[in-house]
Amino acid sequence: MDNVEGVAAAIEEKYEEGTVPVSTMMAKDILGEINDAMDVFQSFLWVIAVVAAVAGGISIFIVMLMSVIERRQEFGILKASGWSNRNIISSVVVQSITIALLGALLGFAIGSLIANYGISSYIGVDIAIITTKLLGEIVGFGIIMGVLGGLYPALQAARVSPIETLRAT
Amino acid sequence: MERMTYTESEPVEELRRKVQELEGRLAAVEGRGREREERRGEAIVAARNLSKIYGEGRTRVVALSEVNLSIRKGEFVAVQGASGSGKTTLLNMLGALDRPTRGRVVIDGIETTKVPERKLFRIRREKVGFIFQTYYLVPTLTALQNVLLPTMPLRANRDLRDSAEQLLELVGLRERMDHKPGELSGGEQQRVAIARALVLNPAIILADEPTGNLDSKTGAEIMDLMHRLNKEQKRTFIIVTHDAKIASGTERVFYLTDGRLYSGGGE
Repeated sequence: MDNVEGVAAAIEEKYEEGTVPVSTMMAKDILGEINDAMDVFQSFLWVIAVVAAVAGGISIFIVMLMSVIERRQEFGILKASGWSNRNIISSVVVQSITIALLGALLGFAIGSLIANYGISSYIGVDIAIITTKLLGEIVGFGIIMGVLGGLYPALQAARVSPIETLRAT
Repeated sequence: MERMTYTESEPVEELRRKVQELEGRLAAVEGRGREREERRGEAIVAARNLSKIYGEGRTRVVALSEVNLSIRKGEFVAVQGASGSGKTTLLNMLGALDRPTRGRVVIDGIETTKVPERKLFRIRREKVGFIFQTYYLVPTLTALQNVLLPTMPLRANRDLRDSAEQLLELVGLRERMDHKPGELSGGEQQRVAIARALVLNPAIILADEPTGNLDSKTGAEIMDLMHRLNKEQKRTFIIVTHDAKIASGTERVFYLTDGRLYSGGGE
């Protein structure tokens, strides 16, 4: 077993002159091909994840922007009541992060259930291994998406002029 | 002081000059009185030569012109004027919601017109409480949460919650503090708005047509409530209204016509 390559070469040499062509293949060659296929699959999953992340971020952005536009009068009241621009920005960004985190954790839970109880039962292999690191990455990702999606709407909310919004009604 | 006389033979121009001079002297005397009041710290809010001009050239509109005003702590005054006379503009200037084109506003010893824009929120939070005609409550929050709205940026404080509950009791809504605005009548919503205006114990309470959306009976109840708060808690109220009946119930009435303020006396 120490000289697998030598054994393979000897086998091929022995049957070289035979009527039936013989070729040998080592386990490490098969593993390499499987690894290559898995790398391609992994890259494909990454592309899907990035597209999903961008779509998620844009969704959060649109939802928060619509919410800010609808709540202009409310922000006018808050400013008249003594809220600073920073208070308003923090409030909108915290709401955005909350939505993004809930979305990320819900997506994670649904994905894990489908992977471990759906797909895994067919192929017999656990394909979603949940670790603390993975959970931390998802929470971190949710926070980043929340900040990115909510920052511009938050700035728009802070720009609301109380006299204009309160006069408009 | 030189005494001025008028004879019918005098040219109109001369007469006009004398009137202007007299107006100038009167303004100077009033100004000295106001300065004395401000120095003595009696005036909780004062406006000096306040003007607000919108637009330029042909679109120029003078919303307020050289307005002078001095209100003492614990007073209940009304600014009466027709629609478009500049009442709300004046209230916005006094409440640090808007900036004048010229002149200055002093609230509780702080010249708000000199405070940078980014710091004006502190004045609005600590010195001013607003009551609006259409209440402007947040529909998704309960009555208690609406009252606590100005306190939310501050650190969670049990005392503020107690104070909000006491205010709701004071305005007769303790039993309905968990109701949302949609479940309250117009009068009740305005009571919540009054409690919200009082929660941080501001130096002045500015009310813009506070009974404008209410029937006469409910409007009278709201005015009674504000008068009670003024008497019992020495709160300073400045209300703007077009309604002479509402204005006549206050200690002092100012009249605003085309951006000019006239004192109705009653001091």
